[in-house]
Amino acid sequence: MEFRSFNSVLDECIAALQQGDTVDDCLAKYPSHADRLEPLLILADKVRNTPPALPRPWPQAAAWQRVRQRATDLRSSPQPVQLSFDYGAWLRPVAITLAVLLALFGATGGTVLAAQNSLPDSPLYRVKLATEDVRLWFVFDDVHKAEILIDQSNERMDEILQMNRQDKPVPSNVLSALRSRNQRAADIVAEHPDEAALKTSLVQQAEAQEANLVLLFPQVSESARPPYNEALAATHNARLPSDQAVAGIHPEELSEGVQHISGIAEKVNESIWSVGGLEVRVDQTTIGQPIQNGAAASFVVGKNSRGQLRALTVSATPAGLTLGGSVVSGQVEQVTDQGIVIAGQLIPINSQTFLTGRVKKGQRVEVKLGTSETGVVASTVRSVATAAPADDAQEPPSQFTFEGVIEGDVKKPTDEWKIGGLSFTITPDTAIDASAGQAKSGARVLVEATRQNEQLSAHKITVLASDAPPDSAALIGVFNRSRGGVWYVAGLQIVPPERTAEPLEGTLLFVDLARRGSDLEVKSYTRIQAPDDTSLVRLDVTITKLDGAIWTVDFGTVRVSSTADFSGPEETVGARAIVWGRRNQNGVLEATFARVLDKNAVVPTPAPASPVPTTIPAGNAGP
Amino acid sequence: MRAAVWTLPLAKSLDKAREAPAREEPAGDIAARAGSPDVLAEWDLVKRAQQFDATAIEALYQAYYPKVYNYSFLQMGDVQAAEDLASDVMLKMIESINKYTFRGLPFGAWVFRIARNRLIDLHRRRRRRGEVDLSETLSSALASPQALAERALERGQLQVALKHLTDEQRQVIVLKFIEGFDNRSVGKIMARSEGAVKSLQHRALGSLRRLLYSDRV
Repeated sequence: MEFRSFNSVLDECIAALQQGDTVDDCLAKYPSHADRLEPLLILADKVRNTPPALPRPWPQAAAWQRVRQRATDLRSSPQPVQLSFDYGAWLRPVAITLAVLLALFGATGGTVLAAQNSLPDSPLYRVKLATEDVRLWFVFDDVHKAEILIDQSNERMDEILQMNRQDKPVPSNVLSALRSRNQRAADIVAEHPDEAALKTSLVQQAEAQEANLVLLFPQVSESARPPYNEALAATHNARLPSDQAVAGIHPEELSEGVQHISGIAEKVNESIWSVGGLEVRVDQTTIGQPIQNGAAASFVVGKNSRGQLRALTVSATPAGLTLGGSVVSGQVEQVTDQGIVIAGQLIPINSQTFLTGRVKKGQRVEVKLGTSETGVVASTVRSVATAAPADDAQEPPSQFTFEGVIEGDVKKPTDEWKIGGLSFTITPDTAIDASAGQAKSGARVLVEATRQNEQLSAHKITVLASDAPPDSAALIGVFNRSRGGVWYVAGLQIVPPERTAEPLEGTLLFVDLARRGSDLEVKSYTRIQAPDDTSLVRLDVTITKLDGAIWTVDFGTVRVSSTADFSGPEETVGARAIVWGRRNQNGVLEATFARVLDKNAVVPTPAPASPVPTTIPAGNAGP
Repeated sequence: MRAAVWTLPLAKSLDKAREAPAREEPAGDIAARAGSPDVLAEWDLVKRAQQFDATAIEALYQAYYPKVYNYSFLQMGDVQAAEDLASDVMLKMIESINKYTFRGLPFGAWVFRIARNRLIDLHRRRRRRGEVDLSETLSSALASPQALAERALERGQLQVALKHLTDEQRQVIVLKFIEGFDNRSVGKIMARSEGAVKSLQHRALGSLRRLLYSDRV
């Protein structure tokens, strides 16, 4: 099953209306789109039922006489049809177009038609792009040209998302085409400052495209990075005000990646802010609502070749506990039109959901939850297999979770963080959540990472509110083997006490560790999941309510009874936790293992009292 | 033990999702349409018209003159101009009918491609000559606000609103909703991909809604 864009859903409903379905039938089928669908479907239905303009009989009869006479002439002396001057006039652009295409590609008209629905990995895709370019040669009205460019850019984004959903790499051709269309449309808009609707249309589309491009980053191959950076920069710049001299983001500012960073934002100087302890440049090219000095905020930042971070977008982190932001990992039990079912629960998917790979029954996925007008929805769905592309390495990647203390200074740009004695590579898209405290030496952090070819790559680093001893660490990973008194868990070497019972290979373990010099020694371990058990689901959540054994996490409830293995500080509202569990016969999600990560509530720190709050000069939000 | 169901607070229940009927094939299934009895029967008619069979030509004329007239009238808002264009298109249709080859699309897609190109050409020539757009007069005359019928729009209001859409948005509304073409045919007529037609359709309905109901929202 493939989840479709709103355009496709609307189209399907319109077709269904034409076949006799009612508007209510469609709304019931797509409840998450109901608000947007309803007015459009009602209008489509009304337009369809508008009575036609009927021709006057006598001109119709007179025209018939002309047609009949012409038919008689042709019948009596069939000869090649002579084109009238007018006919030739309208045919000329078409002929030129075909001639150009034939000259460029040796393509036939049929080829041009066939190319219209091709995807970027098709040999016909060049014909499709060329046809679009040629078409623009014959549009002389700037505003109309910009509208077509915006449409073409929308189609490029659809193609990119379609490739991603099919688990195909996104080639550079479509990224370049996206960049050029957005850039050209933005240039036209800048020349027509009075065309407010056109600007709005471009900005709104570019906003959605930028969000998708940022999510796409991990899927972009090295070779496609330069056109990706150019496409992202052009899309971002299209959102900037065209009536002031804003230079815009240069692709080089993104050359080393795009990251999400959240934490307390504190002003360092006119253009530099410290976000959770990391220096970020914020200026006129940063888009978002103004943020107060000392308030919690989330940034999307680009990293340049010198390792410097520059904010593309900023948004205030809402105070208090909110829905969304949790991660659910597990096997897909069912796929429906509304969404996917994991551990017996439906997680809605809408047109804004970013899907990587084909979502199908039995597949293991990682779902990040977000919120929409209708409630909780999946904001991203990634298949676990594609979460860490294997490249051409010989060793398969092992995913693991590690908890330890940052060692050394990480404030300045660096590609490597030392945590709990292990060296983690900061990848171009490592997310950093410093909402519970600064990312600095001595801070305890949770690292979601992959080990491959001796290299540990951090995907996400979360600063924890913890008072655990600095020499303690923890590891969640799959037990590989035991050799020479050493255990290998997710490829990492740890040292168990003598005569410790060895788990089965393939068992998922939680291991409580202590650092002894360069060794990580096992203090205790817990079996989380047996090698052949696929029924467990992992939740990375925030506790929003506690009622005995029932934890309300930020999107539902889970029962953590005394039979569940438990570790970490005592549970408290506002703390984050990792929970494994399965749905029992009564339909209850029953935890088998839970680890609380924070010793106290992790909520955004209120802004300090200040008579004149300093704000980030980020007033470039769209209209 | 206290039972608690793990639920997404604002999401639909699983049971409801399971009750949802399986998704039907899109109504506009291209393959099905290509082989539909209507399209095939029309192709038989066209083949006879290509031999200049008078009955077949008359049948095509009777079928398409009113449609092309309606299409032209909605685009231009001028009765006489619409009659001229419809007549002209019918002549072109008969003169070029031997060039038509059946590729699974309705014959109407080919006829309307002629109509659209004629319309573009007409606008271009008018612009070159500095002619006044005749639709201005008619549109203003029809612009007086009236209550919309329950299940249909008053044609004048629709026409006024259409005039404020971009050319492509107007085309997609008329071809898709008034003339009843499927996406593939609309794409063929407008030389756009089906994806672009879907996108245009969404945008066109949104714009039309704003134009028609801006005083109500």
